[in-house]
Amino acid sequence: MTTATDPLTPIRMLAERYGEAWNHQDLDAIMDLHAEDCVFVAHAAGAPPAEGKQAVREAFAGYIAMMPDINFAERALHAGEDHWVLESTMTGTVEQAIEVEGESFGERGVRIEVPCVDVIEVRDGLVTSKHTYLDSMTMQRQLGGE
Amino acid sequence: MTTATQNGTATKGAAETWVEMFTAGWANPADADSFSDHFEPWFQPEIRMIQPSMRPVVGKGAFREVFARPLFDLVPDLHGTVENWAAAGNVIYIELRLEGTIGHRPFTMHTCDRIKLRDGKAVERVAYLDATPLIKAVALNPPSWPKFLKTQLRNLRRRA
Repeated sequence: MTTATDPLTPIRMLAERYGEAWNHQDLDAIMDLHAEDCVFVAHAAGAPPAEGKQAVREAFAGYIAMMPDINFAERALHAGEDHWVLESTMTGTVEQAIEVEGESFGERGVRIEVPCVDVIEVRDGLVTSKHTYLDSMTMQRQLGGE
Repeated sequence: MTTATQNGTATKGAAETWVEMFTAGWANPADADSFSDHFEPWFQPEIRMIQPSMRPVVGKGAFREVFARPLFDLVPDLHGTVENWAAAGNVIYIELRLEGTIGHRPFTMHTCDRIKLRDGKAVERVAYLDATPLIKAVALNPPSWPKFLKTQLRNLRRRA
């Protein structure tokens, strides 16, 4: 019998577990999939990069506190040998105002729906970097910041 | 990252070739027309470009008139550096760092472009872009306001 194993299956499975953890807003489960030296960069409104597992955890905790029902609905997933790219629609209901460079945006109950893309790099089965690109102008409009 | 996988119609070579062209085109464009001249041969005639806060730009003519000229009018020294890319089948993802100056105010912004190829040429480009640094640079440089407003008005008219 001849069998073939898709070398990208582990990455796809990791992406699936990671997405589920986010969509359950399970911070511990998310962080279990991150390397100690991980980096998170949200390319939105001048947000500074978070470097190291603790800093990344704090950044993610901030997002979940802002939108406790935060959800990423997959639109497309591309897996590579050491990375995946996820196109999704990020949705959530604002629980507390979002602070951007000292300014507050949004009120409790405002609904956010923004297309975004995550570029996630992996080493030894753990996430080493997550770059999130989203249309922050659209997000600001939804938050009533314009 | 910088990898390509073959599970679709495009070959690894087609994606790499396109990324090399993209990298060269953004490296040091002289002006809007040379930028457009560089990219247009790599677009299908019905190229559709989607980006935040703007209606989709459709066709090579619109790429030059509605996208490139207003952009380089506002930021004449705009240039970009490819930081990462990946391809699967006929889709390429490119992370690009854009830099330029508005007035004397430099800015940097990042985008992740998803490009769909057909026969080695782009048929669709979607930009996932945080334009806040550009907007801030415009806001802090009043002489650039007329050019920026002209672009915005043109977009509003296209929406009407």
